[in-house]
Amino acid sequence: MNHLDEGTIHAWLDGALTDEQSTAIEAHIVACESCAGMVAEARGIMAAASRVLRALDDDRVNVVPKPATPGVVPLTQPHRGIRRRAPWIGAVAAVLLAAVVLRTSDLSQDRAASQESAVTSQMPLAGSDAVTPPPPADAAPPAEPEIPPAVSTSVAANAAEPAPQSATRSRSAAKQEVGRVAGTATGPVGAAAVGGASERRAAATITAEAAPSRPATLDVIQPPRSAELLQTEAAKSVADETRLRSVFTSVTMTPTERLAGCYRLDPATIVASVGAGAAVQRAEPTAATRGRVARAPASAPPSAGVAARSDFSDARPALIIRLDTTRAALGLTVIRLPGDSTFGSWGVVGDSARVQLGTRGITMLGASQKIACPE
Amino acid sequence: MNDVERLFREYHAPLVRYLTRRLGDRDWAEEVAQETFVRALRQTELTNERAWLFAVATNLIRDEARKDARRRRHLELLREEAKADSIVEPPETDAERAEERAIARKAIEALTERDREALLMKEEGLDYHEIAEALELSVASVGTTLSRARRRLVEAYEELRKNQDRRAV
Repeated sequence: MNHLDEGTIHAWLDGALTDEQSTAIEAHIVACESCAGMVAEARGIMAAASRVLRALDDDRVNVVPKPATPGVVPLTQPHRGIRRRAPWIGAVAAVLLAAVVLRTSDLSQDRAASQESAVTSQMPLAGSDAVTPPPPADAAPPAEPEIPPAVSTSVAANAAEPAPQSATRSRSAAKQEVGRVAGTATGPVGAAAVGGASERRAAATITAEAAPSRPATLDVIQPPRSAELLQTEAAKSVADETRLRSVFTSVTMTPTERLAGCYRLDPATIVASVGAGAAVQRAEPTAATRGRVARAPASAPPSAGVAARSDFSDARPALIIRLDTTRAALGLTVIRLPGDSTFGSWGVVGDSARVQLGTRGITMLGASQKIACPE
Repeated sequence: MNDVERLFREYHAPLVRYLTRRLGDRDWAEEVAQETFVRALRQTELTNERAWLFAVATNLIRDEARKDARRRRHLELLREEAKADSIVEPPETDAERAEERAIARKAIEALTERDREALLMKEEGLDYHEIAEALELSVASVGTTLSRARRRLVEAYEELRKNQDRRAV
């Protein structure tokens, strides 16, 4: 018998040959080492091909949308997911900013005094609230623009903004604004403007300053030290859990329903994304840094700020972030709060960036402008 | 034909999977499958029903592929949007899966149409005779077609994977 060709081997392995043909082939393979090798190879190729084909399956298809209970979004190995940059991330190059600002009063006081800091805002939560499971999201339908278009974003290192003296003033103004935006009377909300000189070192969060005619820019703040305690991923160890609990009451939050909606980001102003507690640094819009998200400072624990790794070098002009209170998004990171409650997640899909938040809300976003959600 | 219910029960799932793999879009696949079964309804007799169904579905895809690709792309985008809104997945798993899927998609697209269809039909359990009938090939050439398709698919996949990993470093 002649050596086997690949097609015949596949046909044999597929069981497509007659008994007679099969018998002849089996006899040949026993005697012929090279054909036996080809058979082995064919088996490998068939298995590999099947594997590739299975990867085509849209296995999301049968995933039932979860009822709006943000607290139960599964999260496994968040770091891996975040660190390994998925191709579509780079491709769509979108970045979302979700800053959770932590603050203990002493820290922020120091910071405000030192001018190094830019903004912190707070909306103290009752300790008991901290572990209260969020209400079903459908109980809190996304509120539409109570936030004026230009309000949602940060203030930032505006050179024209004199720092020290105006800090207080703008803090106060921002406080009112944020309070208004948040529509809440649950606590003081502070926002500090930025010390221009220290812009480089600052990290960002959002403060709200109503300046409709002015393009939004980024806030720059020094990340509170305690921010290190919040981690982007679920606390796996008891120690982490404990630390999270200890700082949770100082997490700054704005009710999610006030934030729900869509935001248009100007890529040029996007500087960083933050996981909970991750430090955010301003990425100067230079060739070197534009399009690259600031990384968490070296001092931050390795697990903090991983969300800051992304790349939006080809970010498109109209990057839309949708804050959605009711569904889990295709987030890249999920911000976890103590217990199992999922705080929020963010990620990008296509040209859109989506954020899913726990109903507790977050303090949010970099330079963005609230818009009507595109269809 | 009266048998359409049985036909549907028996072949709907594999047909949709075949079409989904082929098209990369579940909704679209469902549509084509539906159309295929509608056509089956009109048949008084089907000698080899599985081969017939896959052949018709394949032809429908080819027909459609010639139509308004732009409009379809648009619809796909919208659909993706809608999907993205309604799915829950563990984030990192999604990212990795999406990456795998994208690479697999590119790899399958690297095959010739005939190789691709033969391979996808085989994966759905069609035997060589059925594949030959559906694709109008000789039975003898199916083994060659499949071996070529599998090898190319795997090679394309590995190449793409390699490039992807290189970029990710």
